[in-house]
Amino acid sequence: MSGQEPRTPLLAVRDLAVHFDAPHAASGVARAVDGVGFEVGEGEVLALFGESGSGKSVTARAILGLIERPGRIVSGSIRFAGRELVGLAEPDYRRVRGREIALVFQDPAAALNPVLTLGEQLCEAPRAHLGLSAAAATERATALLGELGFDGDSSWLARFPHQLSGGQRQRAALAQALLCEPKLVLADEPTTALDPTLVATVVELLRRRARGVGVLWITHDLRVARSIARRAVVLYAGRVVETGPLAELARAPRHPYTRALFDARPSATRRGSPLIAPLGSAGDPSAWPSGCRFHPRCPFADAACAAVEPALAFSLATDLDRGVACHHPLAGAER
Amino acid sequence: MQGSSQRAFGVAGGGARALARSVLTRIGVFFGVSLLVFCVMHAAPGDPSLSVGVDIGDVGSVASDGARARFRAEHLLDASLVRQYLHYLGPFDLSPRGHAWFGGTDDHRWGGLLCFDFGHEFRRPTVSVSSELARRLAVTVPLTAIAILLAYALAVPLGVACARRRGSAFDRGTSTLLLACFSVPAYWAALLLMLVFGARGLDWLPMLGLHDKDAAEFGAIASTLDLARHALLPVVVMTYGALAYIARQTRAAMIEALESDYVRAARARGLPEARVVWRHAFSNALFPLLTLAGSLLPALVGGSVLVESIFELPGVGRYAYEGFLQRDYNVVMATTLVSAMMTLAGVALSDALYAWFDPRVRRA
Repeated sequence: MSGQEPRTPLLAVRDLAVHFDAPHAASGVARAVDGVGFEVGEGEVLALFGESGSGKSVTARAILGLIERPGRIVSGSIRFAGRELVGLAEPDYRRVRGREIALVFQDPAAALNPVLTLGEQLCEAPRAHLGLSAAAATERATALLGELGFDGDSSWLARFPHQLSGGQRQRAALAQALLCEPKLVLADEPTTALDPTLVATVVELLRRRARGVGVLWITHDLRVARSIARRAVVLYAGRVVETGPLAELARAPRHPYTRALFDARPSATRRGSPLIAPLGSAGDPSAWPSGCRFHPRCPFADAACAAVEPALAFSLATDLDRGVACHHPLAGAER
Repeated sequence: MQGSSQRAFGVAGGGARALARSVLTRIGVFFGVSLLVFCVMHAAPGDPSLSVGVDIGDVGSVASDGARARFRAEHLLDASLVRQYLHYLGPFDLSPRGHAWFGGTDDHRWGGLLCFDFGHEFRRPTVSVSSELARRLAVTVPLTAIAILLAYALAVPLGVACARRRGSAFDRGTSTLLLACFSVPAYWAALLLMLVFGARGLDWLPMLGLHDKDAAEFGAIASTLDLARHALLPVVVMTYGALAYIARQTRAAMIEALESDYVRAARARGLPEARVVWRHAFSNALFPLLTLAGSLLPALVGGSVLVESIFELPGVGRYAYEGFLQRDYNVVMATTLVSAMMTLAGVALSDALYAWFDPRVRRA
């Protein structure tokens, strides 16, 4: 992948900031996402990693244009296939949602409406977006369900979600999201409820159906992400703290937080290095710490960390892909 | 589909058994209510003999002791409560006029409750309670039905609109207004409306009754218009409370539905907003409203006592009120039992609607 001429990425998020009005907080505003940038190339699976409250799900909602009051996108740009999405009119956005960018839920089965038949909720998006007839949409849905391991008769479409097993519901929900063959899939923490073999199936399915499909894999489990994504972006307190190839991040994390993530899993081969604070909440988005937002939990923090917010710096010398936002990056310190 | 639906919903015979069970339960409840009302009614001070030979309204004045004692004996009022209740149930007449087997003088039989016979009014022995009740129902049922339909027709769009604009000025204003409506007692609203629109105020609408005194001379259109003008205020009074309640429930149910994952997913699939709101969210928010329909019917029938008394409408509610005033046991029993039947019918109706709309309850 590296070494090719620069091309427009499928999705380019730059300096995205999503704030929520918080009338009861002293600052009056919760900066849930506060300067996040990353790119997803065609055919790439990017892991967007963060604890709860780090802003990863808000980022996904922002990409889909589903930020509602009291939230708003205050700055930044989201370019999808060369087209700016921030500020896009709602009718135009609706044509992007579901058709070009699909969302797979944390608990995919919860995306199924309990009182509608599978047929109705699977076929409605293709009919709305692609103008398919009822028969064509049914055919398409049956075919995709078949690929997802439902035996190939259309009787499934007459059923209601409660008539399926848990695994069938998950796969039906995936079919529901993917029927329009989107170019980009936002998978919002799918691993919490989805079993890993199914995850592999999904990625495989996506690759087979549309070569260029990109996946933004939003997760808090880097272990599962490693089996799927090559690159990762690590969020902390609404900002990107480190980005780079996942294998590199695991081998030699530069940001103390990234290291804490990998340290959170005990290792038998490593001794002697200082243990970094265990994971927990990053704090209150209406009152992030000053300077580097990780400094209250960082064993390497000094006066500069509390005063100045570090910018995401890319180490041009070694690796174009790797960036870290830290005053004292763990240079070369292999785990 | 073959077999799959049966697997999911259990054996087909289960439906018939459940239906039989629910019908039997409701019959039991019905007679339980009749017994309860019967006991409470007899425990209340006074009895029908107080109004012997007296016009409506002047309870407890002149009547000879002899006439009163005769009346009491005729109507079994001094017998044990058990005997009185069995007499009421029928089909045998346990009064002195009844069959010799039960200590009577001739073999008179009557229907009793078991034969859906509510007997005669105590005060006007020639008037059968059933036929009078039918006349009264012909007033109350249309008014109640219009009130319920109107309440739903207005409240549901209002509640949905509030839920969609949650927290906006529109939502806050409407919610406050609805809460105010819900809190205003019907009798107060009725009197206020009469004061404003009636003869003492703007004089736009008639205040009492269902027809103008000259209605007999009106043509078809004029008499319909006359009826509508008379019914307007009662319908408004019967509607606004239910409307406020339904709208608040709709708002709450819609807010919950709009925040559910499947609605967010529907939105993320780029479906038109109307489809997201009505097909995905509303079809789930519907169920609490159906439950409401079952409890609303009896509440409105109960409320009709007040409304019909204030507006002097010849409906069931006013009939019940008159019955209570005169301790006319047969009228009290009949109106209460009709109200109980409506409650049971309301519950059955909401169950049926539930089963119709919710595939998880529906039987194959």
